[in-house]
Amino acid sequence: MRDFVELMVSVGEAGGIYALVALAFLVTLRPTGVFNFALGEWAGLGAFVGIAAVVWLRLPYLVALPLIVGSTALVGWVSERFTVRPLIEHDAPPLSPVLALLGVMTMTHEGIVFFFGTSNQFAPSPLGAAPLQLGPIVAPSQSFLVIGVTAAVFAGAWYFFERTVWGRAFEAVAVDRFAAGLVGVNLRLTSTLAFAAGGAIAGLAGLLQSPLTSASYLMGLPLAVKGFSALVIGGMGRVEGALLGGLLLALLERLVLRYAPIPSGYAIGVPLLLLILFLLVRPTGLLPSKTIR
Amino acid sequence: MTVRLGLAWLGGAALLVGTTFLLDDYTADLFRKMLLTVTLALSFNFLFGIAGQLAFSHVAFYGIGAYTIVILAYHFGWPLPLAFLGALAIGFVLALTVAVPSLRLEGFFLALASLAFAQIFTVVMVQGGEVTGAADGISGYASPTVLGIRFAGQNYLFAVIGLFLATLAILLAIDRTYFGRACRAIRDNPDPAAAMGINVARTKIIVFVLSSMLATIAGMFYAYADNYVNPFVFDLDYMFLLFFMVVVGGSGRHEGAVIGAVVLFALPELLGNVIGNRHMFFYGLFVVLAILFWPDGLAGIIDRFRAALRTKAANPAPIARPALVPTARVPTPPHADAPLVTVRGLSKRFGGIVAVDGIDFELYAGEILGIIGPNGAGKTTTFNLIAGVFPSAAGSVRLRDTEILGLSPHDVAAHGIIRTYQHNRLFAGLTVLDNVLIGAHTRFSGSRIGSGRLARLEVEMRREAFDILSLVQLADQAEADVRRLSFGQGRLLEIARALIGRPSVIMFDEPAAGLAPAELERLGEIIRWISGHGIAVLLIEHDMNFLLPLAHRAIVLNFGRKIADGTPATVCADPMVIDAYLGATVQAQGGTA
Repeated sequence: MRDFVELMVSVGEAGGIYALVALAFLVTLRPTGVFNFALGEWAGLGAFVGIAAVVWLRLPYLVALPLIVGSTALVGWVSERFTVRPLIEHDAPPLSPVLALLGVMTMTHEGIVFFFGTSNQFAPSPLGAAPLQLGPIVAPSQSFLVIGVTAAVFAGAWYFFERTVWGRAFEAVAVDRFAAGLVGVNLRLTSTLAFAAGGAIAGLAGLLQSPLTSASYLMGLPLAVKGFSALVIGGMGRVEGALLGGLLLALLERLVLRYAPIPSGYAIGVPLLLLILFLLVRPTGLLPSKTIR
Repeated sequence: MTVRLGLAWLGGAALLVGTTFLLDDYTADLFRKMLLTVTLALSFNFLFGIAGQLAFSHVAFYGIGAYTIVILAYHFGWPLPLAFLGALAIGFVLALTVAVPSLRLEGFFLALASLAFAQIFTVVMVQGGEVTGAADGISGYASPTVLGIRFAGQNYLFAVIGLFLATLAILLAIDRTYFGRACRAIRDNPDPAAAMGINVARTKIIVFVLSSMLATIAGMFYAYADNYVNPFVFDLDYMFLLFFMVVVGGSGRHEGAVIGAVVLFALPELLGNVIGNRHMFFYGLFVVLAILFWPDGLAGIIDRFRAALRTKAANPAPIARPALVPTARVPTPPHADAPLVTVRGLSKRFGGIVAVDGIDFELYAGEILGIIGPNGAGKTTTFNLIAGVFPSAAGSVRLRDTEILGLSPHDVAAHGIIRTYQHNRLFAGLTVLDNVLIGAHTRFSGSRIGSGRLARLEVEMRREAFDILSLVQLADQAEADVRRLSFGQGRLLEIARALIGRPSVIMFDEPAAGLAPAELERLGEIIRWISGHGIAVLLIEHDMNFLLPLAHRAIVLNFGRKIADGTPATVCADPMVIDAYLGATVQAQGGTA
């Protein structure tokens, strides 16, 4: 029983972060059709800006948080404004924005190395290092924080997409960009907001991850791979899909780590195997989009 | 191969070989590594630049080639030829494993799967224990000896030159055939490519596997560059560098890949003091700027420079091509009283909406059948159903005795049913002539690449494409960029593209829309010419003045159902048709037509 509870907490913690990265991909992809591979590096950026704000500048966490998330949102905003938008408006080939963002990804990565170096950096948890007891569950405080923040972000995202006019506008652009423009959705603003929101969510995911494993300049890519694998597993059409996919991916990863007789590094093969399996068997993911086809 | 081309290759080879004698140890090492990178950029350009596939696994396959040949030949003691074949086989199986699941689908799936694949490759090499030598890699194995020649030093350099030239020759040979054209067509516009008979998924899988195998082979050569392999050589940094080389050089062009690879390889050597070892930051910046401001890359800039020089130097007269007499021969299908196409109970629903509801009609060889009806009546959906665009539909569409409903678009096209689009859908990266030749894709199928038959067929098809272009009065534009055509010319080009496939049925979706009066008249003549050659024509049209004199028969759709069927005159007199669509005034015109 203890074992099971521990497993569930660790699944919630890892899966929550995967789900947040998946959500970052999703909110950018749906209204713009652009798969932003830079989001993994932007998660890494969130972790390191966190270290700069909390460790170097000794800012209180609650002051630092909006700065951190705002900085990755700003990177998203700037990238959209100066690379993606001009390309879309000048009818560049559809792959061009994705390629330009690969350039932005490399610049982000190299920027992190330039400012923060290549050694792993310890990141403190805002709730301190001591384990926390919640009812029968004893776990590191950061685990509870990750699970709580993930739940809150997903609740907010669900409310936004399902219950607000703005969320419906995002969805309308995803279904038919041209028609949404005709009925008065501001396409430019939607696209900018999608990139900024994706950046903010990715930065948050990286910030939450860093106290668990410490911040590393190499953390971006694995987060990206797990995030988009979670998205394919859960389904690219819906917010709930990202959450389900992230949790399922983390569960299988933990089970493999615990029971399969392979070196722990090979657990990184789990996302790839799931990705290929889902592409073969159920390419729409577990929760397909609600769009009628 | 012509003598001049042979001399050019010989000269190129001599130049490369000659260079090797001028190098010291350090520059020789740079030179061979540069050649390997150029080779890799060439095969990656085929995958990404020419076929338009976003994949991150190319360097991983390079690594698979390097590691596998060393493990097989050094650890397992296999003879070198066997190790070569073993490594090739492993590369092949892994490429299929990545490609087949992800390329059946549209979207970014190949990018995702190949990125995950590349990541896992590095991890497996690092974690591979004694077999892969973990993070230290494998070193200390001897250079290979083949037929008494030891491939080290100068000999190795010659082998790498051979690899580069062979890769270039293979890629050029493929690119200059219908297969290469098909790859570019898929990159530019996959739906119409499928409608011209190209099997999109299959073509993409072949390209991915082929280019991954070329990377695997290059990797096997790399293994003996320093007789040392380690996981970090094959990491994603190198992959992104390849990307940047192809984009900065000019993606989709072999010379672009070579230029990009040479420039980005050489820059850190030349500017090491200025930008240090963080050159990747600047390369990322270059790529963003290149995509925004010079999408044709360095090769495009060189082109423009050369074009400017040429106009100053010669100012040649425009190439005048005499308008050819239309001689395109389209065989008349055997005349039969039985209908060519029989549609029965054709239905399609989208969610709760019935778009097409039990439509029946027949189409005879050489007949022009008009389909009219208000917007949303299900006309274009009917076309899409016949063309195989929607996977699920009810009813039956028989071409003579063959059921074609449920076939995929490229199979429908291969059966001789070709369509045009309501909005022109051309292949923007191809010339006018190549756009026409895409339409001939199905006529090439079965010819082996490199065979004399294919070479003859290519010449024949080009001649026929010129004939058809003269028929639609575009012959003088044959080498032009399609983006320079007017709307009406684009429409005519789509018709030429449909004609060269020698279809038995052509489906026109509102061909008259947006055309000037003179163009309309020409279009009418062309459609009559088509039907005169025994080709059945299915014609959606709103312009009654255009349609009524042209069509032999017309059917009227409303809310997905057929409400009338007959000669244009009877259809126009039908009170239901007047009520649903025409209104009273057009009836008067229709009556006189």
